[in-house]
Amino acid sequence: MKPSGQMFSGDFLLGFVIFFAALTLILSVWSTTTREILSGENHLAMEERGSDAVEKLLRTEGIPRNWSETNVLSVGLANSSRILQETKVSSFITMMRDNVSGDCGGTYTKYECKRYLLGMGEYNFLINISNLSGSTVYVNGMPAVSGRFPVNQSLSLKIERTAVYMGEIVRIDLTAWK
Amino acid sequence: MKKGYATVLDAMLAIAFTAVVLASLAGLDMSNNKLSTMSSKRLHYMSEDALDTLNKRGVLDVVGEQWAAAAGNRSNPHFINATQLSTQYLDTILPGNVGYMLTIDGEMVANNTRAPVDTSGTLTHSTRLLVGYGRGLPTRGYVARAFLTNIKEKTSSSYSYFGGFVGQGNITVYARDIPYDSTIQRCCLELNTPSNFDLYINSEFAGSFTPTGGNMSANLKEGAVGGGNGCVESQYLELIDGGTENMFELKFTEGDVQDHYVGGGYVKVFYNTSEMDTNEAVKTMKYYFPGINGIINLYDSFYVPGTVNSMSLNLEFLSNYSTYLNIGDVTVYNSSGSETPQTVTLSGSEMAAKGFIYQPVDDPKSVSLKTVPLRMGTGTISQIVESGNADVVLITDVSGSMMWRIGYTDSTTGVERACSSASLYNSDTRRISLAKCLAKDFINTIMNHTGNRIALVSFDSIAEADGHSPYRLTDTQTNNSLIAKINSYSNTPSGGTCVCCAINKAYELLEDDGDPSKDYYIVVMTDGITGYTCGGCTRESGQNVFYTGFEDSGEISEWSPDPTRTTATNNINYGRASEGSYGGNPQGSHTGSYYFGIWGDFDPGYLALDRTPIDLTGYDQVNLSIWYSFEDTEDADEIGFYYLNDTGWVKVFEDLTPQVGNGAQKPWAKAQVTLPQNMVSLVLSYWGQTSSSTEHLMVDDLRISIPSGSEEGCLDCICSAYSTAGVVSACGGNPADCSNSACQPAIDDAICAAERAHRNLGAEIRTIGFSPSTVGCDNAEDTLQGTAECGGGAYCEGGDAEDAANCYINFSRDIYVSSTKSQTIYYGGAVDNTQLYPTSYIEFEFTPINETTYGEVSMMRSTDAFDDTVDCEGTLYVPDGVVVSQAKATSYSGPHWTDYLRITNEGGTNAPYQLTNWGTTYSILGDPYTVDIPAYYINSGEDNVVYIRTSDNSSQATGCSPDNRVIYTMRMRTLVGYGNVFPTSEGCIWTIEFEDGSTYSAPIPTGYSGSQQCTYEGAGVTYDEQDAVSDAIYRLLYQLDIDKDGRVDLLFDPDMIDFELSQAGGVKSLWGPAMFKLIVWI
Repeated sequence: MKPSGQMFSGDFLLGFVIFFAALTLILSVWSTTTREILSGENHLAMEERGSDAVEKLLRTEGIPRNWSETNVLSVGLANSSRILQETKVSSFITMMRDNVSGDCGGTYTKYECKRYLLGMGEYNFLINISNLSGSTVYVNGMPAVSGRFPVNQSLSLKIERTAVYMGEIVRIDLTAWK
Repeated sequence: MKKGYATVLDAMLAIAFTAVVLASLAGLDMSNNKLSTMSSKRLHYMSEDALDTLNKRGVLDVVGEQWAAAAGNRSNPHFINATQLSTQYLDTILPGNVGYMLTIDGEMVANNTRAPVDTSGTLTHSTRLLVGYGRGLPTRGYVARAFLTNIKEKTSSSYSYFGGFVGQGNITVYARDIPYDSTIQRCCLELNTPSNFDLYINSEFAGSFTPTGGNMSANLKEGAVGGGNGCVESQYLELIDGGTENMFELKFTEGDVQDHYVGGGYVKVFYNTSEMDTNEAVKTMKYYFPGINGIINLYDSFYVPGTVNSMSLNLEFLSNYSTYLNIGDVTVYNSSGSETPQTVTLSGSEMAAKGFIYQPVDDPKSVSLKTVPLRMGTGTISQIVESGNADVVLITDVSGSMMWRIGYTDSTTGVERACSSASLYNSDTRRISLAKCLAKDFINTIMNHTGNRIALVSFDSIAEADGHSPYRLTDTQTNNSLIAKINSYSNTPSGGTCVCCAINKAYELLEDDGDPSKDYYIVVMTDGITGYTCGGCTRESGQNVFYTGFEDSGEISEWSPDPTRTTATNNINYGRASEGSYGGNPQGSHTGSYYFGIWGDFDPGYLALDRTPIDLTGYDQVNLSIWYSFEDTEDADEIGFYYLNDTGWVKVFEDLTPQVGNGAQKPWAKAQVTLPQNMVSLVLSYWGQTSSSTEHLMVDDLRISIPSGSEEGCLDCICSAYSTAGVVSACGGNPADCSNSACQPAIDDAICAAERAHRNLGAEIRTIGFSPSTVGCDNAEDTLQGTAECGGGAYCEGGDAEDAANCYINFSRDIYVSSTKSQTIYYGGAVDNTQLYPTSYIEFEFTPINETTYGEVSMMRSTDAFDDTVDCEGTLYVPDGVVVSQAKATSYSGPHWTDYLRITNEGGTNAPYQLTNWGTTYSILGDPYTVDIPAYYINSGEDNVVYIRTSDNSSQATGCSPDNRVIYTMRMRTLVGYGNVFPTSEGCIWTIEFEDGSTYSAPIPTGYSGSQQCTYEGAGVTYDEQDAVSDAIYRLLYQLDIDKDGRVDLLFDPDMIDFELSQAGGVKSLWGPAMFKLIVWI
């Protein structure tokens, strides 16, 4: 017989290899792209939540207007836009501490009990208020740092804003993470 | 087949591969876009945060000051400071990967390109507008404000208004608001009154005045030459004192009390004063009644410039007659007379109980912010308030048949009875007895309506029966004298009956003595058939379908040249024309003043004018008549008039050789044709030719009519004479002649006499059939009905005593009502004097709508007279920035009522005054001379068009006066606040020109010792624009210059200006705003 059958087997084998390689490439590209898109979407969602949260802190008075830790309905640190009030900052720092037991039952920390006020959803956050030289501002003897420090985060970002606090320009950094 | 499968499989794999790649790329792109959007948002937050915090921290202020001081010089140390300061902060605030640039008013102050702008992926910016900075302008320095502590002088006026009608007798008004320190410049009266008078100021003689002119105008006014001049001579001005009440008394020196009144007007005192008049707005006010010494007859109004909380009345008067006061439509007070002075006081609660509505303001009958009519008079409203405007001729039949019994047709003599007799209305009463009594009642009714006049005519076979002369309109118009005339009629009448004689006599009386402004009435009473003629009139009866006398120019527009039959092209004239010196016409002239003419030089061409078709639907037997004539025509001229039927043009008249020669006119002739049956559309043509413009072809009195088949109807009357002495005819005038055709000439003469009176004088002829002799009697009824119909009036059948009485009553009432116009009391007999004391007032407690602001000074001004009796409009222009606090429109209403005012400007149209809000029967309402326009309807900086009119009732407008105007008070602020910041605050030597032409030159402030010269003059304004004090002075002067002509309207001494300066530590200026713009990119 002619060696055409062998040629056919060889062609088939070659064709199979090429096909398999192409298929693998397609699946790889698909997987990578999908992952990047999902990552971008997550980043976007987290940034949006974080931006809104900081905007609310810097530009609103909160509800009630002179809220305290016990009666706060919506949190805001400003007297007027971008001018922060000391008592509100102090209350916020205290209210969002993650190393102090909360008042919402169980073993929840204050942070866990009140984090919903910032509307961050599934994302954790850490707030740091510092002056323009980078040093953390102290409020009533406490460093103006509150929230949960990032641990084993799969995704994180930092949002930087500026405002006036105690007559000085300060920087407010919010680190959102998951 | 296998190869085919392989191909399909390959394609599917390729497609799948491609799809995956594309989907991945699309997903990545979408994700990147979202990330980019978020990046821009975060960058914008950074930009906003940076600019906002720098602003609130005060950094931008410092940067702005440095930038302004540098005046655009980038190498100036101030500019470098601005750059360094802003860079220092922005470098720190903004992340290191963000580039930025800061600009002020477009000028770059700081720029950091650490991230190259040309490769930036995202760029955004934020801006802030900050006041106080201007390139090269001081941000700190001196500011000043200025205000007048007093004025040296301002020119203003005091107005004391008369009401719409103040009478009747001597009149007193007070001027109560002339300031204490006033220097009286002049005093003028502007008013309407029919009589000469002497003026007394504070009881001292101050001149005699002679009004010139008629109703509805100011017949005495400032600036008039001769008798109409209303200004007081200068030597009497010293009689006027400032700071106290000044009494102005008008003592009439001619005529009767009915002519002693003022029909609107005012006394105006011009003065100069230094009084600032910056007091707070008053919250109480008084309306003072004018003083009247004669017959109290007042039509006036008041206006409260705010929300009325309560009102009270203090009325002091002397009247032996019933006296009443109406405010709005509320009769506040009504009492019988007393021989001693009366004082009526009504408290606020008592007034409120009368039903006044104080609030809300928008209630049409609220007395707040409304011009409220006020009426005070003597007598009952129905008897005296209303007044008439009629000239009436009452004709009484005193022929022989009036001796007969009222209830019968036979010739039995009736019983003579007095008017007081209980049997007066019995059927056997002598007709003349009843007629005389009814005539007296008629007189009483008409004459109770003041202003009416009556003439009396009695007739038998002539109009001056029994040797009496008629009682003329110019004879004494008192009830008693008129009734005395009636009493003089014989109780034993005799003679024939000449109705036409009586009507022709009435015509003469009205023509000779009648007032053309009044309504004319002729009331004819007769009990029989007229048997005397007055000139042999021929009369056509029938019914008009169409008629024109070409008196209305609109009729001419119905005619247009026929393009086919008109061959002339040039020099064609046609239209409405009035007759020249010709017109003699033995056949009876055309009526009216105009004819329809053709003239011009268009021979040998022809002009054919066709009329818009006249609809004849429904008419079968139609006559067409037309009068025609021509003048100065020659043989070559032609004239014709035609109508169109199915076969073509049909001649009505035609003259193809109208030879009359120069200076001659063909006597007016009448052409008449009967149109074809069943013609539904009538087309007419007027055709002719003339060879010069002096040759006129004329037609007139085009009439399309149908015969009535009876003697009814009123068409042409052609009479050769209108005698007042009858010529006996073959008609005996007895009951037996009811169907006697020989009576027709006398009947036609009577009807034509009425037709003439109606046509020429506009008289309304009313007829009364007296006794059963006129009932069912054809000739009597034809006479009375025809006379009434052709006289434009009505016929009343008085078949018995009661019916006859009703005829008189109804006619007198009709005339009474329809002629009511005047506001004067026409009193024709002795009357006890009545007095209204000028101490009477209505006091209002109210919440003013215009709260006076501290530092304002008021000045009164007026517009020119509107001088517009067509549209009744005038314009009030208020300069921009000037506040009008009060405005009054004046209205000379004459015998009418000012009933409506509206104002139109860019804010819309408003009608703050409508007399109908108070009722539609005007005769019981007051009549304002001034109508207030609430200040909030007046816009400054634009024309405010004011319309004001008069009426006799809610549907009968009667025009307006040319002398109407708006008098208004404006308030000016005499202080200016702090201005901008200037480098200096020293002052200047000011030269200031004032409105009166005078100038002042003095340093301001008075302590200024420099040499800087400043001017505020009509020729120009110059001042140091870098000096705070001079700037304040300039702003104050500009504010006091109402018309911005460079002349200040208030006179003041320089030392009357106070200043307040502030310079401690420098005052931040108000320049700008400047735009601070931060651009950031990444």
